[in-house]
Amino acid sequence: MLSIQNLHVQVEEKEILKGINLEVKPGELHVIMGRNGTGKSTLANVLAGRDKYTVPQGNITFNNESLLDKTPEDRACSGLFLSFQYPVAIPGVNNMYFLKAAVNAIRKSRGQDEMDAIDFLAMVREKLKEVALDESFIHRPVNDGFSGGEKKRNEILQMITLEPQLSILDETDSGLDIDALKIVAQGVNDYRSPERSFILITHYQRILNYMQPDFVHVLMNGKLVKSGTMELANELEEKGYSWIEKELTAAD
Amino acid sequence: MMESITTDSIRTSILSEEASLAWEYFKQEGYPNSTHENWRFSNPEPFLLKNAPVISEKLDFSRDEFDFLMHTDATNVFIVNGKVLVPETLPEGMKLIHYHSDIQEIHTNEKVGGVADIHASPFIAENTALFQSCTVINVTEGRKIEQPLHLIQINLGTGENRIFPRLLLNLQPGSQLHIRETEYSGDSHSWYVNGVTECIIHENAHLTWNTLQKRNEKSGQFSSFNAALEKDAALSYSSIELGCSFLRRDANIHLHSPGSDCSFNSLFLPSGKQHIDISTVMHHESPHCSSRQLVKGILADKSTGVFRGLANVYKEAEKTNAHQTNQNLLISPDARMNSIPQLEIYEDDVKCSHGSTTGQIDEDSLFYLQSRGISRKDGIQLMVKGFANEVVEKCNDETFSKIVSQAIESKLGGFL
Ligand SMILES: Nc1ncnc2c1ncn2[C@@H]1O[C@H](COP(=O)(O)OP(=O)(O)OP(=O)(O)O)[C@@H](O)[C@H]1O
Ligand SMILES: [Mg+2]
Repeated sequence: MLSIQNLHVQVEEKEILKGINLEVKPGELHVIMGRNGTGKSTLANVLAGRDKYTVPQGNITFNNESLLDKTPEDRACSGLFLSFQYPVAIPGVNNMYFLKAAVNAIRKSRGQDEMDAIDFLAMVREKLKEVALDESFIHRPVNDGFSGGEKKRNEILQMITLEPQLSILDETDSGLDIDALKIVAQGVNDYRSPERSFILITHYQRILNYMQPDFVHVLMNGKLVKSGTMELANELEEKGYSWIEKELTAAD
Repeated sequence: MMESITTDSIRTSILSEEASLAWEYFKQEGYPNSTHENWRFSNPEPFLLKNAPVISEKLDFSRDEFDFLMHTDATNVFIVNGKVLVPETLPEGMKLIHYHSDIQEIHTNEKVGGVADIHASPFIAENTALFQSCTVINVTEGRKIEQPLHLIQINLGTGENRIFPRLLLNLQPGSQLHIRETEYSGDSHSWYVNGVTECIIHENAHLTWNTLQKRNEKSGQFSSFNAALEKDAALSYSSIELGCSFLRRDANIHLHSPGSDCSFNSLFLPSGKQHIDISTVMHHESPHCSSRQLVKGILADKSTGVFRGLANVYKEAEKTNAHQTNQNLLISPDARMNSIPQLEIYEDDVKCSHGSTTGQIDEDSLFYLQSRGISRKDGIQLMVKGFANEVVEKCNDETFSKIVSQAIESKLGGFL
């Protein structure tokens, strides 16, 4: 579904990613872990199409189509979704209006009819229950004045409403209380299916207790330097990252 | 019938003494230019149309032609070239007088010119000297008028003209009124519009005033909104400025007695080479008064905007709350905005704030919208409308907000 080959990424002349390779197949859940500032969000943003990053080398295909020359909106319409580490507040833009515009833009790109306001509201009411958000949230401006946890749940609300094929969740578990973490994990689990894939960026093994990852990768020095399964996440939780660093220097 | 005064002859019919005093002052001051501090960023010269005839008649106005401007949920009153067409029926407790002939019937203590100070601007002086016709609206004590009063200000003629609309609104104690005003050009000629509105809001009276300005893009308008608020009176003023080639909107608000409250809001949206200047003076003359100003600009193409806002807190106006916010969105790299928020405070025990920001569309927010499938173009529209909405919502009037939103949307459609 997603194939990243030798991806190099620069921002402001600085090389952040130095040759990422990753294959994500339908139904898989990949976890990416790594120290602060290693480039996890950079990777997520490049996948979503943020143009402040440059890609001097490498290739990304999504469903066998090259992704890099597509606009962010085209990527979204083709089934890619990013749950932001820091969702932005957009004062003045109503959450429901925004979500309806998004749903209809994506439906339109798939050749489907636009949803009318009544059907849309009925659908969103159901989805709101899944993320345990009160209906009032959708009548407020997008993320404006939302607490950290509410923003993350709003991201999941958008994911389950827009129904992407590939969801990139950038620290969606950070800043959540214990109940909210379960709600988010449950939301993701309910959404999993053999056709839907995930890239989950996280610092904590905790959320992985609620869902079964297929692969766990470590991002270091601009590369995915180690890949494993749930056990790798447990090991990182216990020992941190320095042992991997040592392994790398020993290998050099 | 056409009445055309080709030389600037001052009024002799009503308030002739005030007219000659104002004319003396105006002649002494002359029109302002950019050497005047208050006009540093606005040059009125090309829009003064000094040789164009002054008119004050409705000419061949036909109501049917403009019925699309009427609101079905309001009392509609046409004011054509400054001359009001008094409707047959008005809400109980409201009086509307064409000041030209009925002067004896007004039982208000306030006179035309009581609030609009000719020294505040040469344009007020000029209007005071030259208006031929004045609309006076009076609301009886304690009367709360539910139905909005919609003033439809139209200019209509056969060539370049000048008009001097004048309006006096008197809200007696405890009364309440909701005004909508549509400023519209009935033709596509260049006009010089110098309008003065005065409002006296007595003790405990409440006024909501919402203006939608849609003059044609050749015209120059110099208008002032002047209000005096008595004890515990409240004013909510909002203007949405879409039209004119050149607009200068002055607001002179006098919080004259304790406990009065004013919310002043304005949204301006120039494109092409339009120039819009919003200048406010909030006179905090009394203790325990509050004012909030929210002025937002969305500037496209080569348009220019000015916000000059002054909160003036007089000595002994303790417990004053005065806040001022100006935010501007530049949609084009060629648009220019000058913002001069000012505070003058002569009393210690006050809460005042002011702030001004001018910037482009936020790329992070735009990316967020795009990442959800919304096209860049639609995303910009959504954000600009969202930016405008904050002011539109202040109008507290669903019908008006709907009309305004449509007008904004169709204007945005022209350049987004
Ligand atoms: N505009 C920019 N200019 C310069 N450096 C930048 C810019 N944007 C990001 N960076 C740098 O790129 C590096 C990677 O940032 P990124 O946000 O991808 O890290 P991360 O792995 O997501 O970290 P965290 O775990 O803290 O979220 C950081 O060192 C960051 O400072
Ligand atoms: Mg990050």
